[in-house]
Amino acid sequence: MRPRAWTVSFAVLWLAVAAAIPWALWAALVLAPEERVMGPPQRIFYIHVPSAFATYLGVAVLLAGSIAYLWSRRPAADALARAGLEVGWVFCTIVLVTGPIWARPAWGVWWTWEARLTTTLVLWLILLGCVLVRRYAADRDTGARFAAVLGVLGALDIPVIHKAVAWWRGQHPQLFGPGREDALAPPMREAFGIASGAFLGLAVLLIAIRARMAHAEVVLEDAVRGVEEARG
Amino acid sequence: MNRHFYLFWGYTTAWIVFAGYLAWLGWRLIRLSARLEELERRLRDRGGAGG
Repeated sequence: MRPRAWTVSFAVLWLAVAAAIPWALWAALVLAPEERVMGPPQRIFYIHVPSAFATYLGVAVLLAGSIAYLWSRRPAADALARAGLEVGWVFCTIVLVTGPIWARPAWGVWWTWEARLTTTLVLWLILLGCVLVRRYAADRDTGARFAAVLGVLGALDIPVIHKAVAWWRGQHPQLFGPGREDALAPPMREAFGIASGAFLGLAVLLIAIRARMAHAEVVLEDAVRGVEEARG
Repeated sequence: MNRHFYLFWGYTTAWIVFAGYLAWLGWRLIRLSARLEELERRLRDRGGAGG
């Protein structure tokens, strides 16, 4: 993309996200009615599930960047994988932090080794592995290659997380899918839609920023090395 | 325990995690800018030595 087109798209996305996040908070805390059984803690749902969607998006970008890097060895593909990895990991952390805070009043425990919780924790650990491999690898290409392979493995966990409740009859709530169209009241559905859009927009913005930064870091590092070598 | 306690901490911890990532991104940006200045300096030194 041409620099000017990128700057304009970035500015538009930034403004849209800056408006959408307060709107999402208002929808979650004011627009959505209080759930009768759980009361206030149910509202955690409006950041917990959109964060899970943002995690899925980050991991999808990680998968695309990882495959592209393994195929082409282009630094831009690695920058994309890195951006997807970090953003996916941050949102996965939010999922794993907000989940137990919801679970304590709902289930009476902070954590249980339920199928969806466990497979989500596995994803978080795989993403952490990718971060550590990049950090401690002997050189940049080795780190990027190992992280790409791990990233593909992490992406394979996403369908498992998605189907975990059905496959292992977990107790995690299932609000979407066939036969569950009325699981949420219309204002709750509206608040959830606004929050999901805002979080996905935020994830796209962060991935765009981080991918540009990661690519700039590599280009700059190579340029500094090139000048060093030219000086002898 | 008051049920608003869980709501408060659910939202607060999420934003703490997010703010932590933003702070880390800011630090990377500062480092990137320092590297750019270093490159400029080296290029200037090289130009000076060559000229």
